[in-house]
Amino acid sequence: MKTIEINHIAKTEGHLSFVGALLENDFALARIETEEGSRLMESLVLNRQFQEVPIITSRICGVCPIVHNLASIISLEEIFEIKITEEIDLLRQALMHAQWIHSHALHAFFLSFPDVVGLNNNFDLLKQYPEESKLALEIRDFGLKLAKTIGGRTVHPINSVVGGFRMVPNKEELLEIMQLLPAVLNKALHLFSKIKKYSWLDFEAKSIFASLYSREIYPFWGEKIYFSDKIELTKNEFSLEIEELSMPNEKVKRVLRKQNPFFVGALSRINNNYGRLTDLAKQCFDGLNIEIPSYNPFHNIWAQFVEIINCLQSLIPILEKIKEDLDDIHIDKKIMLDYDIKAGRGSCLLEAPRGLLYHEYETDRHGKIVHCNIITPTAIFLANLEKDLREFLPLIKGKDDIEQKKLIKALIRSYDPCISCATH
Amino acid sequence: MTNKKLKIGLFSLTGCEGCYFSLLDNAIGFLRLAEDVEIKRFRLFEESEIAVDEFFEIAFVEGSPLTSSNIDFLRELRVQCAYLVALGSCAEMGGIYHLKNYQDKDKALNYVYGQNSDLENFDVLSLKELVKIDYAIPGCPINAQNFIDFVRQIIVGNPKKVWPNEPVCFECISKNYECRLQKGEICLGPITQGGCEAICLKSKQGCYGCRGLVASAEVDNLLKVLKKNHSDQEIAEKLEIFGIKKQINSNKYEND
Repeated sequence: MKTIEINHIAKTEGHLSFVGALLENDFALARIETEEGSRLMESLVLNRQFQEVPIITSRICGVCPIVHNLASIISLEEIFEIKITEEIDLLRQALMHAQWIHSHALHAFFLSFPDVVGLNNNFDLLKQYPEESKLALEIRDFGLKLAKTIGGRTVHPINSVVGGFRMVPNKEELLEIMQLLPAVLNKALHLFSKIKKYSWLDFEAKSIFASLYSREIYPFWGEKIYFSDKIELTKNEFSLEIEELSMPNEKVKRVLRKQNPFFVGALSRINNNYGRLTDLAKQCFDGLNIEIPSYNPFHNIWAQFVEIINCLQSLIPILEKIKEDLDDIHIDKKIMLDYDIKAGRGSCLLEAPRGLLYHEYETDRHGKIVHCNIITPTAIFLANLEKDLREFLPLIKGKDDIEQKKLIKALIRSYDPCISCATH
Repeated sequence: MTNKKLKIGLFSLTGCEGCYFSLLDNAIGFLRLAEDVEIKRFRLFEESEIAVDEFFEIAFVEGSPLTSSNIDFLRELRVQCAYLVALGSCAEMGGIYHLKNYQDKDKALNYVYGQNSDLENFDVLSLKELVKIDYAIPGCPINAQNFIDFVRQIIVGNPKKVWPNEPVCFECISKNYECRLQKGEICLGPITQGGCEAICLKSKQGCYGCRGLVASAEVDNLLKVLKKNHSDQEIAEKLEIFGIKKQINSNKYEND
């Protein structure tokens, strides 16, 4: 038996380690261990006023605070039966685009691409790939600007609250962003054309891909979840069918559906919703000559690059509409709604950059939180990643130790694990 | 000043890493700074681990010490650096996760993990309750410019706080933002350390005090104003979130 241990894997969000073993007949064990302490986030919101929830839950993660903020807000709005306006919906869509763009630009280029080109240190990446790095930074910066204009701050949004938005986004800032957008889209296309020539390992692992599903759009939130074993569930069915496994000394609760692990994230979304990508995103994906569905988890990185392009293109009409809304003299009332506090139960399922994110709350009649459950994308895909690693280990057994560890880390990073989220 | 670049280590314990993302969000400022100092062990940037005999002129630590290995690491790091700087609310004053300290922590663990869990479940402490801290960069998240300015001060041999000893109100008024207190809302701006550009007030959110108490904060005066419109419990909950309540209580203790 050969064991492989990798402590403190860097270039991921949050701290994790890997423990694996290769036994007889290519039978392998693989386990991801979180090095984060448990913050008990679901307990922290209990007995607190609902307005504090989005503030507290955004602190689950510094790279994807927007999705936790919005998942809390949308769940609470379901309880209070708040029907949001089209104006609020557009601003939230823009915020989600911003979140995906900056999170993907960071992960796909600065955390995973170095594995593609065999670099350990991002200061070397900046030196050896100056043009690509500059493009990736500019794309990321664009996402951050948009997040700041609408959310009030890049890390941990302030402006996005139950009932809508406190402050009307500054029109000049929005116009500046709109002016930048076509150039940034071109930059993303240019970056894509430069990096697509790098090839990845051929590695296939059969997985079930789960994502939100729509016939019309490439969805951020919704009621229908599609599993690639041809199962369609509603949000409530999803919450009932999936199982969170608690083990005595495990900080991350693995998630299974009918005892099976499943994949979530960019590759799942493209596998399930390829038809709803924008024309430019489709062209880029087609240029990769990857067949749909792709069972190669390393393709998750390319899927993220394609989603950046998809986001930038689909933002154009959204920002146009927001611009028109900002000319409305009553816009402040349309983006911040009055509501009555109620007791009840509400939930939200949305597509975080790393995949399906589920929040669920119960309030009492004073708006105090009496129940909370949060299931994050990384907690969901961790069991699937471990399955892939078990299939991967026998394939790399002939390589030396250093190379093996490099490849294992690359596979782990290709999933874009966010251990802070998973260990919340 | 010598030509040798200052060696700076960037570390994190348990947390959201939002302070480091704030830093990366000011990518140009951060990369310029990286030309003038030697930035090491930044795990979002490189694959490497701290060596036992390694020494840093400044070590920044973000997050909360929530595991025994977090605590061991912090104690070891203390002797491997000249200046140890707490980065952000969690490290400086307990931060959001220390809300657990206001709950029954066993119940909290059971609620999240069930009865069988034997996970470590410490009280959530700020770094200075475990080791000596030389400086702190406040905020949840930090203001990246505060970080850059602070390091630049160290480069010229003059480490000091680079934000004014003024409350958040100072910046809020100068930016002409609407006063939340005058609207009858809870705002901790008058007692909270400024330097954040009153960013929450820009979005019409009252200050939650994430940057901690400003020097000579007039806490009792603010409480008097708040009590006109709000119950003691409401006020206490607001003071708890990032750790100002804990600071107020420990100040009282020191004064007694």
